[in-house]
Amino acid sequence: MKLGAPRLTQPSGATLVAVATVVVAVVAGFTLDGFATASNFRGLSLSLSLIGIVAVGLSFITICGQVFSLSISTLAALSTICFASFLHLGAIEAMLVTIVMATCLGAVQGFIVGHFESDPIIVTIAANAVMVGAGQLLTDGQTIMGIGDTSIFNATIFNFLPVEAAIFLVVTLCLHVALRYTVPGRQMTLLGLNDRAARISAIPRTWLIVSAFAICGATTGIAGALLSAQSSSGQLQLGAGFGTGAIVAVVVGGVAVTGGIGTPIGAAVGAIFVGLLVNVASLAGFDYSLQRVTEGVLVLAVVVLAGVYSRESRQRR
Amino acid sequence: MTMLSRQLQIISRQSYWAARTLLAWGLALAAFVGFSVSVPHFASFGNMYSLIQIFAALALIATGLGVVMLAGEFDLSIVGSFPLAGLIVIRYADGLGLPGSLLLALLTGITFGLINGWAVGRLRIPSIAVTVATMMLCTGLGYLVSDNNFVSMTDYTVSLQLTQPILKIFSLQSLIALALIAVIIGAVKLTRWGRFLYATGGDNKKARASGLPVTGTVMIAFAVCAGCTALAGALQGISLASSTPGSDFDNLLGAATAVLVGGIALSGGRGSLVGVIGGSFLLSVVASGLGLGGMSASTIELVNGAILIGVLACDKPLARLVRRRAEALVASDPTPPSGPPSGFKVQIESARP
Repeated sequence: MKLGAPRLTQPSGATLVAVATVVVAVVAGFTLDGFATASNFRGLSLSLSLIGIVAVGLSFITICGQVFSLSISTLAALSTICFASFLHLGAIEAMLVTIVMATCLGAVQGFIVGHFESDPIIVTIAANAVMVGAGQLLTDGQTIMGIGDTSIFNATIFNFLPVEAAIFLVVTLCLHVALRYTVPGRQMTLLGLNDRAARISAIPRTWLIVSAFAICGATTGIAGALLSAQSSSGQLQLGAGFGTGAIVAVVVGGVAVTGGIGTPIGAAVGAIFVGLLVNVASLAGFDYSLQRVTEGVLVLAVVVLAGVYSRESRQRR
Repeated sequence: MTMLSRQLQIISRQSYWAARTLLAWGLALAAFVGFSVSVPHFASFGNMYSLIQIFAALALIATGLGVVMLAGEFDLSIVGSFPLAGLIVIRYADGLGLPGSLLLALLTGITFGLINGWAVGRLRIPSIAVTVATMMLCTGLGYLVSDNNFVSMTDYTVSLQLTQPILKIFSLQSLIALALIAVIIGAVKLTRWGRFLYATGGDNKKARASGLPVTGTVMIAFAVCAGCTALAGALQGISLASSTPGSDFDNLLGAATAVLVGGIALSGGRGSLVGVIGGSFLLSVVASGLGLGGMSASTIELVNGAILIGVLACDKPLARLVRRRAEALVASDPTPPSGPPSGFKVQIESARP
C-alpha cells in the first residue's frame, strides 16, 4: 500500500492539469477575442517555452527529494550575460559555452547539498547571493550587448513552431526518457521517495544529487541563452520571473514537493497550464499584480489540497 | 552501559550546542575588536548608531526565523512578507492614519503566519512547500497593494522621530526591535510553549505521540516569525517613508546565516536564541566594517553568501565529530559522569533511540 499509493496518485495529478489545460484553452478559444489567432499562439508558446524548459530541469531536483533551487533566476541572468559575452564566437558556440557554465554552477551547488548533506533551500539561497555579488562585480550593473547573429534561435519552423518551443519539446522528451527509463533516473526517484532505503541500497547518493542540480543548471542555461538571443543582450535583471515561474509549474504539474512522485512531462504540462492562465488573464484585462496574486493562490491551493488528500489517504490506512 | 553511553552523549551534545552559542558571540566580539582597531572611525558614535540600526532589524527577523527553526521548520515567506508589511504601512498611512495602517500590516503578516502554521502543523505539509506558496502570494499582494509602483509617505515627521538617535547610539526603531527580541527570548526560555517548541523540533512524531499540542506550538511559532518580519518590514518602511514591491531575498539570507552561525540545528530542537543574537551581531559587524572599509555592497553580499556556504559545509562534519568523540569517551572511560543535567530537555533527549 505504501508503495502503491503514490503510483495511483501520480497519473491523476498531471492528467488532471492536462485536462484543465485543454478545457481552459477551448473555453478561451470560444469566448475571448484574439485568443485563437496565429500571433497569439506564437506569443503564448514563446512566453511559456523558456519557463517550461527551466521547470523540466527543476523537476529533477524536486523528484530527487531536494525540494527546489532558489538560485534559478540569478543563474538565468548570469547565463544571459555569458551568452551575450561569447556571442562573437557564433550563436551555437555561445549557447554551448553558456550551457557548460550553467551546468558547472548547478553541479557545484549539488555537490555542496549532496556531499555535506546540507539543506538545499539554504545552500541555493547562499549560492544566489554569491552569484548576484559576482555578477554585479563582473558587469558593474551594466547591460552587456552581444555582437553576432542570433537569428537561428529566433526562427520559426514551418512558419508555425518557434525554435524556443521546439527546444522545449525536445528537452522535455529527452529528460522524461532519462528519468523514467534509465537506471540513474530510477535511482533518483527512489532517492526522493525514501532516502533511507536509497542509502541502504548503496546507490551513489551524492553523484545523483549533483546530476540533478547539473541538469537543472543546464536547462536554466539553455533558457537564459534563448532569452538573451531575443535581444542579443545580457544583464542581471533578465529572467527575474524564471525562478518562481518554474516552481509554480513544478508544483501545479503534480510533482510532489516531498520528492519521488511526478515526471518532467508533468512539470511541462504545469508550465503550459500556468502560461495559458497568464495569457488568458492578460487577454481578459487582468493586470500584472492580479496575475501574481493568482499564481500565489493557485500554488497555495494545490499544496494544501495535496496535503489534505495525503492526510485522508494516511488516515484510511 | 547503554544508559551510561547515552548520558555521556547527551552531555557532550549539550555542551556542543552551548559551545556553538559561545563561539558565535566570541567571533562577533573578536570581529568587533578587530574592526575597531583596523578601520578608522569604526568605534565612533555615528557608526555605532548605524551598526545598531542594521543589527536590530536583522536580529528581529533572525529571532523569528530562529523560533521557527527550533520547531524544525523553515519560513520562506519572509521573502514576500517583509516588503509587504512596509508597502501596506505606507500605502494606507494617509487613509487610515499611521497606527491603523501599522496594525493592518501586523495583522496581515500574522494571518499569513497562522496560515503557514496551520498547514504545516495540522495538515503536516512540508513547511518549504507551504511557505513558497505564501511567499509568492505575499509578493503578489505587494504588487497589488502598491499598483506595481513605488509608494511613498507624505508625512515625514514620524520617520524622523523613529530614527532620532537616543543616547547617541540607539533609536526608537532599534529599541522597539530589541525589546521584542528580549520578550521572545524570555518566552522561549520560561514558558511551556518554549519547552514544547524544543520537544516538537527534537522529534515531531514523539512529541505528538506523548500528547503535546504540536499543532498549536507550530502555529504560534510561525505567527511569532511572521509578526517579527512584519514589524521589521513596517518599521523599515516607516523609517524610509517609501518602499518598492518585489521579493527581498537579502533579509532571508542574512537571517538564515545568523540563525545557523548562532548554532540552531537545521533539523530543529537544538541551540539557543541567544546564539542567534550573537550570529546577527557578527553579521552586522562584518557588513558595517567592510562597508566602512570601502567595500561595495555586491562584495558584501558575496561575502555573506560565502560565509553561509562555509557554515553549511562545516555543520554536519562537526556534529559527526562530536558524536564520534562522545562514543570514544564512553569506550575509554568506564567511570560514570558526575551528576547528569536534569530537566525536561534531558527527558526528551533520553527518549531518543
